[in-house]
Amino acid sequence: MAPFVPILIMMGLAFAFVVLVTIVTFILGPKKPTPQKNAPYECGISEITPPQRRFPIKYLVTGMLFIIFDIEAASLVPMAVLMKRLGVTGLIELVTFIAILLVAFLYVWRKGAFTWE
Amino acid sequence: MAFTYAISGGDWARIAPELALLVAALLVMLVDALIPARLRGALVIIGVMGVLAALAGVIMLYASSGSPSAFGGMVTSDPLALFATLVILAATGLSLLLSPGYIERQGTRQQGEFYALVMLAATGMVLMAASTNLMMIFLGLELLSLPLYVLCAFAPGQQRAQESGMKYFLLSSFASGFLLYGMALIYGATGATNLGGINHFVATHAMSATAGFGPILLGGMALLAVGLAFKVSAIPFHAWTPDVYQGALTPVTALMSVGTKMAAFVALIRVFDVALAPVRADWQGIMWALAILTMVGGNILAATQTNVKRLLAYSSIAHAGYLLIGIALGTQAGIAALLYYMAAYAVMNVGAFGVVLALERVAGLGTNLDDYRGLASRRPALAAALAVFLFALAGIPGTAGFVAKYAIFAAAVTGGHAELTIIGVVASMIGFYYYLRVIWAMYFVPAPDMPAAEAANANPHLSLAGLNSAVVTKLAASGTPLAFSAGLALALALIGTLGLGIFPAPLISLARQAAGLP
Amino acid sequence: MPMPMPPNAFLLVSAILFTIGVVGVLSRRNPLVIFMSIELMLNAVNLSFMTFSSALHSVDGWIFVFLVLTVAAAEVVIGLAIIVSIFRSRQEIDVDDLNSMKG
Repeated sequence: MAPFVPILIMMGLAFAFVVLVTIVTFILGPKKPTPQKNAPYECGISEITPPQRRFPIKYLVTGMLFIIFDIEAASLVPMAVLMKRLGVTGLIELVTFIAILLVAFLYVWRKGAFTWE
Repeated sequence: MAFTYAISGGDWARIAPELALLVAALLVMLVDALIPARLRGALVIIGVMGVLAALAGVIMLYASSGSPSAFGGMVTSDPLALFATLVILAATGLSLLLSPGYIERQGTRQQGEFYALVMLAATGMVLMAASTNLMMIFLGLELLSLPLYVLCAFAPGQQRAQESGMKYFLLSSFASGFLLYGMALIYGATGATNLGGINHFVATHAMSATAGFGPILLGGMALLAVGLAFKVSAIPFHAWTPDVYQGALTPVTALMSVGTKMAAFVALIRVFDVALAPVRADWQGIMWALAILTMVGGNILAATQTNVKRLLAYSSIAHAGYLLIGIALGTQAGIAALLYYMAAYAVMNVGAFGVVLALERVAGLGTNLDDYRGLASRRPALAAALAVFLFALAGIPGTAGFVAKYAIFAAAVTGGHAELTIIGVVASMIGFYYYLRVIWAMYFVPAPDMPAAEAANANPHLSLAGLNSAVVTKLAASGTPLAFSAGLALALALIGTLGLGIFPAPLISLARQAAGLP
Repeated sequence: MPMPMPPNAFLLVSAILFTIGVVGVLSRRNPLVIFMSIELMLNAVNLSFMTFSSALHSVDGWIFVFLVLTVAAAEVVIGLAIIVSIFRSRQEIDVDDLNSMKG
């Protein structure tokens, strides 16, 4: 029981530390902004086009879909490992899970999220 | 480790309402993907049928006997869960009926998504109300929140809706983090995520703020309370509510204001009033303070509003305060009163939002108090309906709101917290002011001389909505006709508001049963 | 073989990570960074769950972590979708600009 009490103290310390560091850097940090300093580079010529170009939206859509099916795969692994012990009930649940995902998959497909152009 | 896995068909029957809503959501998505765009308005029928099927499931579960617990104590179908499910289904059904016509008017093309997300959010609400395990409470909460994030950002090309969705998303995820940390600490202190297990541990071990696992449990309770207080929009965790309620599409606002509250209050009841009852002394003060702050603050802030949707948002905060009395009391009478209040609030609040929706034009225009001036002469039926709903929200005798307020204040007196009653009554007095202000504007102030279209053109959001002034002028001049289904929803809400006020007994006995009283 | 770390150390790390996340949410202005901070909070909680789970010899914490991971993934997707939709309708994105509603 007792070992947990220090945690609370440490939580307090952790919070105090973060606050302290934030305040200290705010106070101690020199702040003499000049136009030169605010520029992306203090030396050399300034860039003509923004250095980081935006990704097209379609990358993001693909990324979102990837995350969903990635997690789906992760969810299947524990069930697959235990499949023998879960028996028929487990199989039915697994099929239900995949069926629900299949509806989502069908939906995404029909809405054209898989077409690249 | 012993491993048993016994799920029977009976377990699935115990979650029949959730299943019905989920199947309806999937069907909406499936059908939406297959039918041509012009037919998508009909998808609301699948949604309504899903709600009716879930209702049948609730009735079946009320009639069934045997242990209500299912899936190894993860979920339950006890009277408390069933009562909450009824309230959530009422809110979902009415919101669905209010949607056709309105969402087309707002320029929404993705109707399939809209209905599917509403059904999914309703599934999450019902699941959260049925949960008896911290895991399922978290899962239910997220299942209701995630669709609502999207729904809040739904109105196409409207800056306000996107803002509202973004704010809700960031703040709500932030609150979820606190809630989750609270759950982790409670799990660490008690060694269980099952509410029964938590209750057993707390009841059999000495817990105090300075000894044993007490400090960890205390931290966990505080964080969990913060997370749930955010969801019921209790002051000081209310900052998101007005913006989100104002910016979201009105049916979504109606659903959120009732469904989320109901689900979160059931979680509060199950965690605090039941599982953590042995350590009531540690949390009662927090709930007591939250209740007072929310009642008083909500009513005062509402009194200064000039936008009706925003006013109703603050009023919804104030009502969360009255409801928190039920939690703070920790008595079964308090819980019964809370449940009845929630049922009454569902019909009167969805009804009020329904009238706002009927009067609302594109991009949230037509929701200012000025737009309601002289409404009684232009749209007498709508004005009368709104007056009834506002009287009910204010708590005038003869309406559901009065019975609900009476029940909760009476429970506070018998529970030994008369001070909550006194503060609550004073706060309600402030409430009278702003509800009557709207009614006054509708009945006793003549309509403004300036055509609504001019006011509309002065609004900067309109250009963002990509609407030309000709459309707005046309809409403003003709007034928006009431869709049949919206009229039906308003009629049902009106019957509910007056019916629960005049014949409250059956529902009160149902609420008492849900709270475990004879 | 080195000594196993005491659970307190993990809980401490978890508390620090959570606090960093909270401070990040409160002090940052870019929704993407705020969102990253929220993810940090969730993962800090996951660490707590795992620690408690192994200290208490119960599997509940593991299962909870699993659910949190799944939910966090869904949240990422929805968050990105909302951010993208805002990106499309205006050029810059900063929470201080989300101020068309006041009161």
